[in-house]
Amino acid sequence: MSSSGAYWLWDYGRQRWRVRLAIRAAAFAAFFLAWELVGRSGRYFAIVPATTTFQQLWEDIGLLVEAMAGTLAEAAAGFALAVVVGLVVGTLVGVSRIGRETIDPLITVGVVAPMTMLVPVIGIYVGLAFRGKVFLVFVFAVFAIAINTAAGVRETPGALRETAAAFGVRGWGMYRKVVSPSALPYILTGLRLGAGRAVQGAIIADLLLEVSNMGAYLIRAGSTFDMPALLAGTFFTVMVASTVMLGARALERRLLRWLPA
Amino acid sequence: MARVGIPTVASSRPTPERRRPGRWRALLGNRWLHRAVVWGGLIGVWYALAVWKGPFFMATPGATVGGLGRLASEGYLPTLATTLRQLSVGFGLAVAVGVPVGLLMGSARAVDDFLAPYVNTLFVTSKEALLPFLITMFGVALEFRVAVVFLFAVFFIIMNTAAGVRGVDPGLLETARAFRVPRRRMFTKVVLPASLPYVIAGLRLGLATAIKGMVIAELWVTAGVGLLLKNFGAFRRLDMFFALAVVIIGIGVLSTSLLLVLERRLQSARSAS
Repeated sequence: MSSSGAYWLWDYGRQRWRVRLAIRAAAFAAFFLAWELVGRSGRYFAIVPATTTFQQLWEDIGLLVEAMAGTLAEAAAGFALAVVVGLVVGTLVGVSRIGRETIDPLITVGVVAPMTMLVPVIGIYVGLAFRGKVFLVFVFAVFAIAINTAAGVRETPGALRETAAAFGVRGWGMYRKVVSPSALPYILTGLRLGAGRAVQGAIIADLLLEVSNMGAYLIRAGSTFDMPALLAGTFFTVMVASTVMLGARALERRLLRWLPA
Repeated sequence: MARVGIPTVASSRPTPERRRPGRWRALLGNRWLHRAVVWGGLIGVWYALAVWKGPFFMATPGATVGGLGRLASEGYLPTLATTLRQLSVGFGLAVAVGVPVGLLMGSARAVDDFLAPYVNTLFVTSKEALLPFLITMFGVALEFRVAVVFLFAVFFIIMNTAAGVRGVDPGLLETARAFRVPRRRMFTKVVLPASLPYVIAGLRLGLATAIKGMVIAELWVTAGVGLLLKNFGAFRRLDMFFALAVVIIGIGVLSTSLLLVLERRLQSARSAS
């Protein structure tokens, strides 16, 4: 996933794909070999060999998929809510000067603030079960979506608006035909970041609020010192989460293909 | 709202045409006035909600401000200081590892090809999933919290540093090569100064996530600030809870905006030279 830029110290060009593939393969081999060897050596009781971990992963795959489905369902529900609110608030903030001056700084604070802080009081307001979890996912995702939407709407080039106005586009049409296509790259970035945060929020909710789904699997494995299961669950979660992000990335590129480079 | 100004100079942003504003207009257009009104309104809503629902549900703005004082007078500041010390240890480690790794990844394609899959995967995925593993690995002691802060911060630093190094103006590098500037000097005089704003940006984003990691880790093991938050929540000392939340958010906002100022300084210094 290296960018197109040149490397000042040592570069063999991005076209040398055989070299690059070999290096990638070496990286994977090194990682799994190191994992296996450290696991076999028994120096750290928390690290069991890769082969043991994958055997466990294979045995538990049904459980893991089911647990992950529950976690992702929470993530999806909160994310959907965050998309609606984030797009609306972001657009309003982006189009009005007063919104930009007053609400934008608050959204910035919301992006930086550690939302996990809410865990001890979330029960007071929305409950610890599904509703509380969805709420946590929502606050994790909404600010990233809103701030990117606002930036996109705000950055619509003035020349573009002026040209459209000269051709008689105004009012709602201006937003539908001019502002929203031009803001689309920003909005999609916001949605992708928001999706990542939503998954994070769901995992935290499953670990720290009412323990269930993926959180239950991991905590059970950890508290019974079932290391193969713990590593299998951790590996599985990381893989699923990164697949979600890669998928979001690919979708984003796909949707932006029509843009001039 | 879609007011379109008269086409003026080719600027990317439509500057609202400025008729000579009268004094009243100027005052009404002042952004601090807008902020005072809107933020004051939000605080008013908060106040009304808190009074309506009672202190068992929500602390009033006044009680929250009072809570700030009580955090100090009831002796909770040392706990906060300990937490911040652990944060700085973990973050310091993340900087010490992340900047060199990022510099290497940005300088040599081989290193980038080798490390990118891991860095990218851990950068985008939820490091929260690693918590149960980390706790069996490190126990509940200091090492665990330092490890969590480190993991939350380090990938932002690596990614941004590498991007900064890769983004150094090729023309600048060409010139340096034409003058046969030795590599070490090229690194210290060209590459490092040009990528510094990106490094600072990485530190800024990394610090914000490090604080998030710290909160998660301390809630998980019920220690430090996490213990305080849990206790204040459980015993419904919501004035204290809100005050502590304000302090934590304040630390995050303040430190990241200081780094943002530094970043902008460096950027403008670079474009000026």
